[in-house]
Amino acid sequence: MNIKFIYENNCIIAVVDGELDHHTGGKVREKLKKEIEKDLASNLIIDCEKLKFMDSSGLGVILGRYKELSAKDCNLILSGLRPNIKKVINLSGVDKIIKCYPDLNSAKSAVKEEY
Amino acid sequence: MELKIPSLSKNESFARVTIASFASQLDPTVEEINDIKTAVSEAVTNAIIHGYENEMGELYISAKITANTVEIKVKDTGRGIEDVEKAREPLFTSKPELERSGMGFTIIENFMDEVEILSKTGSGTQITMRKKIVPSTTEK
Repeated sequence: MNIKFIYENNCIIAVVDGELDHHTGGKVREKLKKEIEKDLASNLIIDCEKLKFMDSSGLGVILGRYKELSAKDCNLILSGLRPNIKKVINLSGVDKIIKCYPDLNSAKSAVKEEY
Repeated sequence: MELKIPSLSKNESFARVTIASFASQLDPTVEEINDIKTAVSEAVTNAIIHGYENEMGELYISAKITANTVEIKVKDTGRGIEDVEKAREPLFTSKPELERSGMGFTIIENFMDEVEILSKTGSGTQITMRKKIVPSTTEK
């Protein structure tokens, strides 16, 4: 599981690569938390295009960061969800509180226009 | 097929991939195989976090195929679930401090066709789940 951060305009783009489960979740949580705590941008896009697998442990990590960002009046956006991950996201209703875009470019455009 | 593996989080990936490979002999779709992987991952994670509370124990995982149905059992001999009905409720978690989403059983129930949970406090939990793989009439 790899996670790479790119700063662009008012966005932190977290590119996640691999599988997000209970085993990898702790590391991903810490890395995201550390980046959020820097307070360098008010939008976090988690780009999931290279994320092959995610279960409810991943949901916990995402919801935890959503709460942290909301408390700072910042936004969390997801992009590039594969069908198997989208199924988990939709079943949990997370898509009703966190905006999901088909790819990173559309997420970046939305941030520019809406936030 | 039977597996006995230590309750280590690194084995979550091994368990779901192994069971998915076993189920692939029924020629499932990509969606069906992903459903099985996710359900197994949830059951194994539950055993590690809630059954053994991250302490060492053994996980017993078995799978068999009857006609077009794959049956998977995930068993631990950990602390057991006090209230199975409550545990099955969406968003219920006994460990919110660990950022658990409480969606594990809901995912298993939605992604598989049948789910049975047997649990006894102090003795452990066994989750049996079945999924019917509908044979494709066209080339996959």
